[in-house]
Amino acid sequence: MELKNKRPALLILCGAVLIVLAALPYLFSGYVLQVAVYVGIYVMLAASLNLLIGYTGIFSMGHVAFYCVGAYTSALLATKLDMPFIICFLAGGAAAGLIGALVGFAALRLNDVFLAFTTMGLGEVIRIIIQNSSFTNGALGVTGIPMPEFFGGTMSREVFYYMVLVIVFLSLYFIYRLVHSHTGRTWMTIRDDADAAASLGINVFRYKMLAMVLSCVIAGLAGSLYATFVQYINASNFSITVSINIIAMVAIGGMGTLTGPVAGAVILQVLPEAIRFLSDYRQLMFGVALVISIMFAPKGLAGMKWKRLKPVRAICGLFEAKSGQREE
Amino acid sequence: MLYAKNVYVRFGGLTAVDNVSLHIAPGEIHAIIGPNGAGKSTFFNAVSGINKPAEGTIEFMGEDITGLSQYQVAQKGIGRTFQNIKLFPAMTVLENVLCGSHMNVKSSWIQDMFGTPSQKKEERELRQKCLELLERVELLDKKDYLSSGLPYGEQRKLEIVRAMATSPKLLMLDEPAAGMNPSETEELKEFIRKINSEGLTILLIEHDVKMVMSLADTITVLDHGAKIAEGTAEEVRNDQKVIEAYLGKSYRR
Ligand SMILES: Nc1ncnc2c1ncn2[C@@H]1O[C@H](COP(=O)(O)OP(=O)(O)OP(=O)(O)O)[C@@H](O)[C@H]1O
Ligand SMILES: [Mg+2]
Repeated sequence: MELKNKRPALLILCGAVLIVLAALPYLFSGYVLQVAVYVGIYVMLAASLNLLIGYTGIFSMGHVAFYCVGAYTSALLATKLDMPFIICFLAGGAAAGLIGALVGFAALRLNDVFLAFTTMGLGEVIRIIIQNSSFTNGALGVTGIPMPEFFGGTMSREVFYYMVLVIVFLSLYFIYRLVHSHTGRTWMTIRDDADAAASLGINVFRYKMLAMVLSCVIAGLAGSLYATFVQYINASNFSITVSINIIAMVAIGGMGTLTGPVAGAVILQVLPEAIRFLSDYRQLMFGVALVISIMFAPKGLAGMKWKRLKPVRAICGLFEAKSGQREE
Repeated sequence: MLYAKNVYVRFGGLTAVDNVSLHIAPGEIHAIIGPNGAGKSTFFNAVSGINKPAEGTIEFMGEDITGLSQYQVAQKGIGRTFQNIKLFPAMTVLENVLCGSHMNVKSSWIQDMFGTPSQKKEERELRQKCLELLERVELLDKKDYLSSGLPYGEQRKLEIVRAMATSPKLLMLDEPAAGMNPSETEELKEFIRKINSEGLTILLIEHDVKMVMSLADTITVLDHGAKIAEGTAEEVRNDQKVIEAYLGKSYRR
């Protein structure tokens, strides 16, 4: 009911954000555009990891591995077999999903710390295999990954940005639909109490696998976008610190919320760029920010009570009308 | 309906369920009583697939269900509640019941993802059914409360409703009256009687002896994992072994 009064303000705000996003290539230089593409890619990574950590309670620490598999699959198909982008893109997602299913099969029967370390270990194994296999060019990485074709020519970075924007919004839309339907509810039962879930006839392992595969597919698609955009990838781009960054985005933004990982990805991608001039103190500021956010917003930014910032609350309310009601 | 034959459950050296055989007839209210640590909950867990029996078989509706996983047992039509309430605390009352209807949902995750008309229709119908269930136990006005915010007695009630939403043939309740006040207990008793009269078979663990005596058609008494007596309330009340188990040997008449 309250929400209805806020609708106009809300629509204006969303409209403004959309206009800024749409006008970005005309407003700023290539550098901002590049940061924007990275932000989009990390929104996909954080939102997909949130399916596991936030909604299903699977604390995966190996998310970077699926991003890596997607990037390499896409890059190799494009450079070695001259496949068109759309094939590389979809194959990147599919390969990551497949590897995700294998890792899930090995790890998803474990719990908590065991699962965290197993996924981290398997993730590292995948990266090390890629780094040392001649098929993937070993430590040299894959170079000369072409930009997609577009109306007979090569896609410009501006058009690529718009494509990323559409893909990010589609991913978020599908995630939104899933978590607000029966499937998402079932994931959350597993997160809250797996025994109770099973007592209701829920095949816990199957639903964990579903979350794992879907999450990995999205990470793989993000990997394909990354490889295509930077045109050169190397196994060192996919170290464990990337996994930890993605986890930080989900944690700072707010686990198990829709807006949280988006906010987390935007902040953690943009902030380091904005404070680049601080160079020496950057890592320090980063650490301080993390500690502060954990101390004052343990549920993440989306879990905070934004009593004084009505527009912010309204935006969160739009996407999470239900959890809005739930506060007390 | 449910046949347990010579069931043993062991934890290391401890035999928590010791050669228990049990027969539950369709339509009855069957109670299991016994002192703390007698193995009642462990027997429930053996039936519902949490603790696998070391020996013995469990048959449900003529089918061997020994050693099935928890979700498979639930899919056969056995619903249950837990002694230490296991609700989904981050979900609302209504959402908890919706989760209970999991097995009735036909839409796949793909339909969920695209939000197809049939999926939306099913979700609406599901909600309607769950609201009706909540109305029956007078929890309707609290449907949007967080389940963890309910008072204890209502949490127990909600857990029962959630189990009923699975449309079970046999409902197993582990100490449903624990933590309830006398009027809530009375209300619960009536409710159990009502759903039983509608055809639901009930297996009940309960410490409230008065409640058990007035509700149960058959009572099984466990002590130290073993079955020491079985029969109607009258028969069990006068059983020498039962009196000893509860009150100690000095109370022998
Ligand atoms: N997972 C387990 N591991 C080891 N021992 C267990 C386990 N579960 C139960 N036990 C032991 O088995 C015995 C039976 O326990 P159970 O919980 O079945 O008793 P109960 O009859 O339900 O008692 P109460 O009335 O207190 O609920 C107890 O001695 C208990 O300590
Ligand atoms: Mg017990």
